[in-house]
Amino acid sequence: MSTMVGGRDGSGAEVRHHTRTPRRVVEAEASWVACTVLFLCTVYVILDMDVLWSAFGIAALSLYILPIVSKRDPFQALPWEMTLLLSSPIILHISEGSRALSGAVGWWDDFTSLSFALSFATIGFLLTMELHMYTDVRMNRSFSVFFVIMFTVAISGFWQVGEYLSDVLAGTDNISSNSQVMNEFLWATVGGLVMGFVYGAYIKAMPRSRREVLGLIHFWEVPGWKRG
Amino acid sequence: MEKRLKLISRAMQAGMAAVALAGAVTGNLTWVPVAVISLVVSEIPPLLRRDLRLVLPVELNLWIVLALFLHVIGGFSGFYDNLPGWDHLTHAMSSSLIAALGFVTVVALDKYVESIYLPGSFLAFFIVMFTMAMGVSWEVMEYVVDEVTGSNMQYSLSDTMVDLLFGRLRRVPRRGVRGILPEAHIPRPLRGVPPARGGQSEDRGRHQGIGGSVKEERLPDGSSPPPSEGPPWS
Repeated sequence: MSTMVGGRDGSGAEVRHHTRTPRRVVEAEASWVACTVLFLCTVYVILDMDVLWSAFGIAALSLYILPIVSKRDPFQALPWEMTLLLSSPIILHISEGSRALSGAVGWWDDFTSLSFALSFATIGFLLTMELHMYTDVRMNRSFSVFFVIMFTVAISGFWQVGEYLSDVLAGTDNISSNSQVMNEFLWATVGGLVMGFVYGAYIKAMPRSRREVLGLIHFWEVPGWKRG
Repeated sequence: MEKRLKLISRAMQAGMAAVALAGAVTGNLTWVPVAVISLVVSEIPPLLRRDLRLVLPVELNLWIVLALFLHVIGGFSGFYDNLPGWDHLTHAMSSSLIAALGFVTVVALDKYVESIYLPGSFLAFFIVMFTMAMGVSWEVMEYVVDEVTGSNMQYSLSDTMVDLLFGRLRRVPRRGVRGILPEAHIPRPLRGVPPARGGQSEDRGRHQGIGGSVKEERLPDGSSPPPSEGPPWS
């Protein structure tokens, strides 16, 4: 009987999420702008026939769209800063300015590697969030920090193996040397570690008012998180 | 029966300690860290629950011990240079040890930490990712050691890549293992709760940290404790 009461409480919270306060509109609009950047970049790499990067863009976009589609509410958008982080490596990958800088500035390649790691960590975090929303998976905060770190490092491994296989099988020229790969791995580890803990703090530090506006990142504190 | 199983578990832990000791005595120093890590993983339940009487279930211990011995046998005698393909075989064996350790760790977390629930398909995904992450860390470690000491552990790019690939291919069958380990799934109120009931029972699963959440137990009559509060903004 008490479960009925719980359900009613939850549906009340859900109604509140669908109201469009000005703040919610602004948040969602900022997020849409960031997502448009990501979308255009993805279209570019697809037209460019860049398979690995298209896969990355499509994966990021689907994680972005999933809550919107499943809730049938365009305002159920991800926080804009996460969306921007997602699109940063793809921008750096396709921009000519970045290519020029990579020749001129010594640390530019490290910077792109790092931004790549940051966006993979972001995908890992989105994954934990959406696993919580749509499946029975539960993690506590320390485990999800570990998961983000591990996810970043592992994806970087898969990515390098993918580039290597495409070099061997399709004759592309992605990887020049072993130390380049190791450099990539080192930055992935650094980025994963940093972002793991940053996201741990991020969930903790985000003010309740903003969590309420986003309607997404509150599964750690709210009993009825499954309804988003 | 339960006592005997516990004894077998302890015996297997003794086996791990023996491998560590044997490694130290015979100069096979690479065995020592893996054996010690295996021991630590097999001690996860007492660590999580702060209760020394707990032991890991026999099957999980057996899993670790098997993988550990496979790893030791794989590393036996320097076939590395005179037998083609031996390198890949040992890599596959060591990575099955790493996968076993990852597997036992997540199953133990799933079982002993109240706020963590990891269903089978997620476990499979997790172990594939875990093994890859460990493989990457291992290669990076080799690279760093090479850079610092001038040794030659990493031959070439293709060597690194094949190592990573072989580490990865072993993991696929592990998915089925979850099925033969029904014991790893203990029923508890947290599990399989449909969303509609969430408001009442799910607050037990919200984040408390490892130390905080395990203290929450079921009441003696088997019912869940009463909810402490509603949603923070209701």
